[in-house]
Amino acid sequence: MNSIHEVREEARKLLEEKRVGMVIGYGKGKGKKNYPIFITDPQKVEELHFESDCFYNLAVYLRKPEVCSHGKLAIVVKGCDARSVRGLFSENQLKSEEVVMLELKCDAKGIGRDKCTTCRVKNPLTPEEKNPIDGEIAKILAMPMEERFRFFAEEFKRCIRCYACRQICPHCFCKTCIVEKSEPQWISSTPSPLGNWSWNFTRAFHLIGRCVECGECARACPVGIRLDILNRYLAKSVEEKYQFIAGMDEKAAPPLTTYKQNDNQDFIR
Amino acid sequence: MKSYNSSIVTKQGLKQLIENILAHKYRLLAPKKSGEQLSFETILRAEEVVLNQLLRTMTTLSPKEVFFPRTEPVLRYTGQEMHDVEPPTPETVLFGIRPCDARGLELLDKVFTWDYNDKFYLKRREATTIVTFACSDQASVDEHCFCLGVGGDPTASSGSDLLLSTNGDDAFLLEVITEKGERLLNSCKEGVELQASDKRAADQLEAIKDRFVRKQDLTEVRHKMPEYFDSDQLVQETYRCLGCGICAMSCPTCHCFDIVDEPKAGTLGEGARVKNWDACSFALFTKHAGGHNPRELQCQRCRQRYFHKLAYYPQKFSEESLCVGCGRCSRSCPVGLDIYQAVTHVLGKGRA
Amino acid sequence: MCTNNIYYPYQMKLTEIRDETHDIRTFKLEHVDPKLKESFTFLAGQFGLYSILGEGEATFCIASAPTKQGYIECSFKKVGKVTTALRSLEVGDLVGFRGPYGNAFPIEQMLRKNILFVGGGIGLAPLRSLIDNVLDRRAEFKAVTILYGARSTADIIYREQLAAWEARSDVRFEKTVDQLRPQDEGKWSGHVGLIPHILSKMSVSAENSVAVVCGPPIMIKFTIAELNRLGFNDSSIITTLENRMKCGFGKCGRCNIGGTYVCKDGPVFSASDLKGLPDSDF
Repeated sequence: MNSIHEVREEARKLLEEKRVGMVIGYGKGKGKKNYPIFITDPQKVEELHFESDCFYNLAVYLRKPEVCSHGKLAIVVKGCDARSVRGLFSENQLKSEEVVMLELKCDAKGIGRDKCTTCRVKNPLTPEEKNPIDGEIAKILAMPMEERFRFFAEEFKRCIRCYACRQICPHCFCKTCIVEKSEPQWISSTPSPLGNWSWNFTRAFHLIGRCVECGECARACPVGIRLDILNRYLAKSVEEKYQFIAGMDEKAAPPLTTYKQNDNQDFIR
Repeated sequence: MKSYNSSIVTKQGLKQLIENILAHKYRLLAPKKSGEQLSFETILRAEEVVLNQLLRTMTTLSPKEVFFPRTEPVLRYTGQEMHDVEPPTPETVLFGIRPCDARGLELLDKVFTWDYNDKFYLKRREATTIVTFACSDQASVDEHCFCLGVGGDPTASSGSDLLLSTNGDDAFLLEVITEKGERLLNSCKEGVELQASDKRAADQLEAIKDRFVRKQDLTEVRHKMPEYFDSDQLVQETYRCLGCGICAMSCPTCHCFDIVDEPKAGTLGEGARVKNWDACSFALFTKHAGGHNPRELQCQRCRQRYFHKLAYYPQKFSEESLCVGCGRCSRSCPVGLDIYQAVTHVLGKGRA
Repeated sequence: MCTNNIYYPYQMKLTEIRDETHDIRTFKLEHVDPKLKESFTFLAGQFGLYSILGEGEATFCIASAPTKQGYIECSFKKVGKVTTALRSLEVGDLVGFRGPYGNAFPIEQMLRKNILFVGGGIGLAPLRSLIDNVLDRRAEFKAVTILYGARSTADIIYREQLAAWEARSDVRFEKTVDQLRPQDEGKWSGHVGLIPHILSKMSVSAENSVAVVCGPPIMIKFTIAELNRLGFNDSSIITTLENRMKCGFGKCGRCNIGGTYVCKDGPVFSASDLKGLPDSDF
């Protein structure tokens, strides 16, 4: 869609014809800033807005029980959110007939840390060539191992286990997160160096080939941990090794969640 | 608590005071920039304390961690043997907290001494002298601050041992609030020029108050709690909450914690029982082992936090709100939730 | 022993293990410190935190009566990490204990009254402490009636105790199961049906009476309604809650219902207390 007016019109129709029970979008609420809003009344579609501060990835709400209880949903998506929704389709978390995407071209810039400057899908489905984080990754890769270790140890030291990274991520959809499993306790829930290290790395590993690099985790992190670097590096590796970019094709399952007879197995010794 | 005396100290004098604190082997904690974060860190050199920054920016996390760390052992064990733990309590100067934070500590004192004294918190409190920076600079107050709406005051001395406020471009008013503060000042004032003054920081208050865009009184909630408890408006206001714990963990007065046993890596049968920060916004917080959850929905969890601050605590401990209006939860909320906005809208609408 | 660390548990020795059902087990525990064994006291209705080093703590009520001195008992169902670890213990092993915490059943207010005990499932555990306490002081109370219900005959706990109560001439004892399994046909002497339903047919008088109810939340809810119908007012209906807890003494903020701390203001509440709570289901 080309404008918020078209989105509003479509949202109104969808609600009026009861093709969806709720529209998830951006609105101004009572303040000046835009927030996620949830519309069930077709009379209220005028509350939908779309401006440069609409940086939230609304796809995360598609798994919130209160929202799901409204049946079929429509969601306003930018390029990055659209990738999330397609990623959820590809992992059978949502059925494409249950979600209507109201896709808009995004012109958000520079909100949060690099969240939008690293975007490769401002124009939905047109990957741009260069990602600014790649330069930072190159610097880390050039470090000797001990220094690299120190870099991440310093980052994770700050983690307070608020789990904002997990809660804001559309792809952290596990019903029981591994950190909440206590029999056995796979990951320490204590915000100590060891616990923080295992938590942040395990979460990153679980997102390999699934992360759409929307940058929400790094934006949400109250103590500024460079989760974006970690996730970008892993996404980049998947792209290089499997020629796979998450969330581009709703039919293509992430490579690490599938198994083929002829998969490379020489790492098993 | 009476105000002992007040004096004017120059910027240079204040730097000397910080030097002296360090020279006297106090552990000095003050807001320090690390990366893009401003947080309370151990200061080793006086120049690490950037006064201008301190006046203008509030730390992301509150100073509660100095007394109630994100994790701390309450006992250690080796096999079947238990060992008591003492909290590390070096003589500490906590420098540059805000009046809202200082007040928050007084509110926490009531919880940690309620019939059972938590020595881990209390011993750290005893060992710490608090030097507060009043929000006396025009830039100290931002659009999230609302201490005035919860019974606070940007230049209040309550909870502080020494109180500093700006006094012109290059000087500060230094008020001695408690004997503890006086002891610190007496032991560290050599070479610090103190010019006696009868000024009160409160004189500047009116001008600062004008800086506040958030002045509505939230304390009214506690009197009408049953009316607001089932407010649809509150459900609407908190619908976008995603259930992370940023609000609780950045809050100077949120004190919920978990107790878990933490085996020591690389050992067999060694470890510690630890107290870890927890948050009522987490879905698992109240979930019974049997599966039942008294607070099943996220909006119920938000309501718990808001009402604990504004209604339950005042009902239980004192007439004061547990929220001190520092604004940290709304500054850091990744989906822009805002206790002030939510509650004022509920107050405005009542049972919608 | 450590006196100023409120998180530091007593050490108790496990002296007896009884399996109540396939997943509910009872521990008898005695203080390792002989002085404490002598001096330790508690009140019926209070609870404690039981722990294993390296595994963590879990909250249960004290299920034995304060009049039985020298030991405490607790009963627990295997539901999580700590209860699973507790189940692996053997006689002679050590268990950490913090407590007793919380208020207690208002036994002094029950003197010279008729007392109706209604217990469901493992909810009999806190009641048992009070029932034994009352029976050990039997002369100070009027009629004592006990109604116990379990899901099936396989879920009945404290069998020996129930038989002893049933055998007493100064106690009216009724038992029920929600459903009778085919293998129990002809062998079950009690009622069949849910507690509130059986209660409605028992013709109990609310006159000068106190009802003490404990069980799963849904059972408490419907039993209170039935008791109201029988003429019990809310202040003469007593129950006990089990919310999730970590500290047990009003710090960790987990068990609050509105401004009420289950750990310190409770766990024993009257039905009128409960109905005044903001989050109340009752």
